[in-house]
Amino acid sequence: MTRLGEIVEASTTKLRAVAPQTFEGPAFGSFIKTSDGSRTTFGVVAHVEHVSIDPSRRAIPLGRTWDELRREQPQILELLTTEFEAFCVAFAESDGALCAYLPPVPPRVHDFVEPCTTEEIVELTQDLSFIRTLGASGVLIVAELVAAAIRSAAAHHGDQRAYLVRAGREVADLFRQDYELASSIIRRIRVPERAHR
Amino acid sequence: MSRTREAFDALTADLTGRSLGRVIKGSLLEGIEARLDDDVTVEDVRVGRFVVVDGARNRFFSAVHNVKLANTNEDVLLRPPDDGFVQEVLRGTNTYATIDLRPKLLIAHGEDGVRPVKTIPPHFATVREASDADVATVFGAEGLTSLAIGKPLEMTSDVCIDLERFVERSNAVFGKTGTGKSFLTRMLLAGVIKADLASVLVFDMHNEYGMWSEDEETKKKAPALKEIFGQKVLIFSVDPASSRRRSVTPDYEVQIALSDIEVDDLVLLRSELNLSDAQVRDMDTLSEVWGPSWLQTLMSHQDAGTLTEVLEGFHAVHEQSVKGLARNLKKVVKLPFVKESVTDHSADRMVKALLERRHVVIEFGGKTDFLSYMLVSSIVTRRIHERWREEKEKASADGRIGHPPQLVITLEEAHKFLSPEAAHQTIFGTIAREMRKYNVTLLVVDQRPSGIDEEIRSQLGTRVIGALDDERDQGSVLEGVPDAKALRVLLNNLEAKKQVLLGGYALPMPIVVEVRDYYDFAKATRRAAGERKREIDLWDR
Repeated sequence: MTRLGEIVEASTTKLRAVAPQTFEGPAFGSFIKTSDGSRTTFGVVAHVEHVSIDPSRRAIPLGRTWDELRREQPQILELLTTEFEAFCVAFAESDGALCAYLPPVPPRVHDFVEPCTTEEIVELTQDLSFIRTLGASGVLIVAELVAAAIRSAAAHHGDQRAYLVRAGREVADLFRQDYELASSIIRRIRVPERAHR
Repeated sequence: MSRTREAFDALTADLTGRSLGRVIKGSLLEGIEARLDDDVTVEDVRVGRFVVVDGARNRFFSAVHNVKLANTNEDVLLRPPDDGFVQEVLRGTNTYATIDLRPKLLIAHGEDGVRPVKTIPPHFATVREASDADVATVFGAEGLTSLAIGKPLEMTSDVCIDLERFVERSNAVFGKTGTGKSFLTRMLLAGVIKADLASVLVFDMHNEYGMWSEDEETKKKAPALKEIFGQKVLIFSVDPASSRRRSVTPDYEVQIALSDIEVDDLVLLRSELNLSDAQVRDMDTLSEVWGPSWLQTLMSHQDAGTLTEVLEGFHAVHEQSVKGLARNLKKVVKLPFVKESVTDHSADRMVKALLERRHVVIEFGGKTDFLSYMLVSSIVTRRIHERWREEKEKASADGRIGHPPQLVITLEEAHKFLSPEAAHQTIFGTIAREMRKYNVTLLVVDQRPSGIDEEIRSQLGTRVIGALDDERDQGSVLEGVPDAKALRVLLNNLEAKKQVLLGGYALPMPIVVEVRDYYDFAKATRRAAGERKREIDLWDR
């Protein structure tokens, strides 16, 4: 089991987790899950950051490469941590099918976060409601987030281009009042035509 | 479950036709608008395509009348995407296409046959390409009295003309030069002859209906009526020398006696003969006084130089005008087939043959000689008019039905006879207007429909319309036809050589067809006619 992190904050809409190794967080836009034994909550990574473990002490410039730092000041890695946030997009009860909407209760703090399997991603992204959930998340970089999630989902679907077209249409439909936003997302998920052919 | 119910279910269960879209708007008055499915490329949908709309209780039949592009968001139009992927994504969400339909007929659950629409399909009813079964349901199958004339665009089942209805009214074949008018007309006439529904008389100005006609493009010889039907068709030649040059042996030569020519015949030729109004009045006066031989009398006095003395006895005529008239009429008298007296009146012989349910083609030798063409046509038609009237009145008195036989008179360059000026004075106008009662109808063949009198056009039952370039012609062929505006779009999009728009009395609804191959048709018809003849011969023995 690949452990991506441990939850330190959670709500019904998002969770915050700390990665076990500094600099080894999940990718932006990737699909993760966490289980409390009976319910599995699925999410999309919306923010990853490397920060000091002590919020009151920022890291300062040291003027050395990482090779030099590892040799001379190995404790530095211990002072840094990698944290990430994920938006909840779906859940599944242990005996039930996948529900593509927010869980009734938040995931538990201290539960572990794992990456989703290909099967889970395909099942989760077959219907495109995750795009609506992410679109309503209110983050400033919603275009980037939605585009990254679609790209990462498409990588697991057989006909990538067909999936991207379908997702793009969902985006165009969702943001039909805001053509600028819709087209900026669509441009971010487009398949380069030449590479495709 | 009734048989018809089963038939309906079988038909509507047939979903082989590809789904094209869904109904989004509509009214009985304005027609239906359907949004194309996202996977249907707008370029695949051609105007004129025959489609069906599946409502809850009815299946509607229509042609595609228009294809349109639409968008949900004006911003897209300000910055059209240049990227193929983005274009594909926006198709169906921000941009889409619609088609306009005009349902004309429907078939309802549990009912036999199609009937005109009185309602429209509901929202989101599926529009699909019509299947061959649909076409067969609406347009029937080729049979004894129906003629398969072609196929709807991109389909394989036949569109059939109901020939029984066809011969009941005057009809028209319109189209600019080179649209295959004469091929179509021959096909229609051959259908009528084969079905034995009417006698056929053709005024064949360009030698296309007798034995052979030459395809202007391929130079191939196409068999014509006599070649297909043999002795049932008689060829009369106005110019026997020309017939011989084309190795056609006419059955008879056309001979017209001077006494056969009446004032009305010459009135039709006014512009060809340069006759003034006064001269037309003079002719009336002369014929009143001199009787049937007025023309002969006039010409003999003119030749003898005695016209001045003779005219002194007349009050109402002006000498100079009559002299001018005589000079003008010289052109008529000099025509090779016009004789002082004849032993064999061609017009009578033709009428007799037609009454015996045979068919007559009058060949004019191919010269564009309107004088001969119109003179002969007028004389023959006038004679037919008289005889058919008499025969019909006699038959009605005797209670005989089906006599005299239905007659179809085929008139090329019809605008010459049926122009607004000519239509009220000449026999052809009368026939087009009222001879239906006496079993005579016209088949008008013309490239300038706008030159034909409006009232005559409105009497036309079935129209076969090929491509027309002229705005006025396009407008006039559809004048008075319901949904003319919508049909005009179809007309504008016809391919010149292959496609025609059919509509009117002998068809359940207007439709664009690709005309069937004439050579195959001729071959099949000749074979069928031959077999039929053998059958009849056997019976006779």
